[in-house]
Amino acid sequence: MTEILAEGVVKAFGRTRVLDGVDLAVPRGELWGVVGADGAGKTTLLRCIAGLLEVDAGRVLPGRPGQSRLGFSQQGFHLYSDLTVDENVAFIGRLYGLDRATLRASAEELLAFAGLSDRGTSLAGELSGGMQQKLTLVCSLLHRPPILLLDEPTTGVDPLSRLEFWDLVEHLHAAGSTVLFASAYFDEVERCDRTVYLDHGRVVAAGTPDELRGDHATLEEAFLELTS
Amino acid sequence: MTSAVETRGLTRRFARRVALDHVDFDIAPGEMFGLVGPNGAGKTTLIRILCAILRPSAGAARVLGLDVVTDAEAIRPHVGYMSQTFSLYQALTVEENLHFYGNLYGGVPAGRHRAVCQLVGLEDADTTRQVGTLPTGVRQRAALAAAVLHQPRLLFLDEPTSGVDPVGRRDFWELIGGLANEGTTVIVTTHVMAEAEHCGRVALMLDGTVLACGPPSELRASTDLQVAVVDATPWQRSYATLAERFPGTSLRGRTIHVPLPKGVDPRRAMGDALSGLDVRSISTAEPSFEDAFIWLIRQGRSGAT
Repeated sequence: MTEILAEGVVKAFGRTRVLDGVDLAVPRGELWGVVGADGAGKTTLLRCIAGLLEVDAGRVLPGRPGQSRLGFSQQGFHLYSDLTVDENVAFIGRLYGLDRATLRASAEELLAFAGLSDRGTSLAGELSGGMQQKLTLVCSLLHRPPILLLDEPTTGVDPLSRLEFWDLVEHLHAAGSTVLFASAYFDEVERCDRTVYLDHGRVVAAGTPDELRGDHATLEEAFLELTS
Repeated sequence: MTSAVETRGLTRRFARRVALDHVDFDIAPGEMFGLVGPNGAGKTTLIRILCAILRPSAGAARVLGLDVVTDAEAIRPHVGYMSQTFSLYQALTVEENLHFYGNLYGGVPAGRHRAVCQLVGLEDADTTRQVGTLPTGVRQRAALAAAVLHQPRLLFLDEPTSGVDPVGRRDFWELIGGLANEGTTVIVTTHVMAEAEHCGRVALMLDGTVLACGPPSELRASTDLQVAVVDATPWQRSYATLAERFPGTSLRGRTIHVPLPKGVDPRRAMGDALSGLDVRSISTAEPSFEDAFIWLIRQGRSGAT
């Protein structure tokens, strides 16, 4: 059963066609990665799938009606720097309409897994970049969405924090979540079930990391050859 | 010869924490010097002090022979700073941004715009487009152009390749390597350890202190490690098992890197941690700079060094 879908998706900004007929279908419980050069259309694709942007042609899932089933962690830090960790969590939880008991139980577990339990009273703006990314993920998961979209979740995050961040994602994946993420780190993409290469708004290759690597030593080398 | 940068007991406190705690180092003119460390280690604070835009709480720093507190005004014309967040005006075109920054520096010679665009590989880019509409890689080159417009002797690059795709990253490091070869002192931060190896020397920072400083090869050798490269299936459970037993264990793709003391037999050293795992292969390798980073930071955090 397909949880995340893009079918013939076209999206233009002015005269620039950022997405030019993109197809992908992520079955329930799989972890997929999207890679591609800057400007390839990764962010636009995720935003279309999340229903934040209207597509010019084609069809997406979950899109707007499915938003309560969706957790979307956007690029960069979008929380309130002047609020504490706990206040951010409470605010976002209320936006999702969670009652107090549900929110507390959900937040406690996620914050513990993210290693943020003892930072509840720290201002979000004073956290390190890696902690901010983990808090962003925690906030996008409070309503326990079965579907996760992550846009470059570890950009600007140090190697150790990146490992910890992916431990959390892997934990959710193992528990049955369907995940689609965009990344500039090939090392991360090698861990997903399938990888999609996006180039100038088109899917130029898709497959398991092993298939895409082919005879190359690393996925990055295969990618560089494909795009050169 | 005067050091390009010299710090002694450099300390910076903010209201609730110490961001820099007695930092000492010297950087020679023309060096390409890397700053690495976990988020929050103090890298950006250090750069801001050396640019003379933030004052130290204690200790001293000299930049190009000038004191960062008493000679702040004299330092600024000689340093270029490309910050993590893009420092250009998104609604202005590349050309307008260059004019603006040129005027801040009291004007630049005619022909300098073209020269600088050529230098950073923007000669074919449309410099009449608004910066906000450009792809990340082009925007980042434009930010570099603005930072070197006034021909600074010392250039600070704070995570210049963050969010840039692999091709763009590779090209960018060639570019700044070229600048260093021409005599500009370059101080650069990154979270990609393979990139840090382009630097002649690297300072590894943790909690406001310098944990280790030297050429990347020396930092790698200082760990006295070998790395067992383990291919096991399923990798998730194998990684969890090994990471619990061997601190500093990390992942490259689906391959597990286990740091072990030099000279030991990896299978024997991992012993019963391997039992119950479906191991396809184990080989040993020299630690990469990323292996060394993870090891040194974990050691530093546990207070073992």
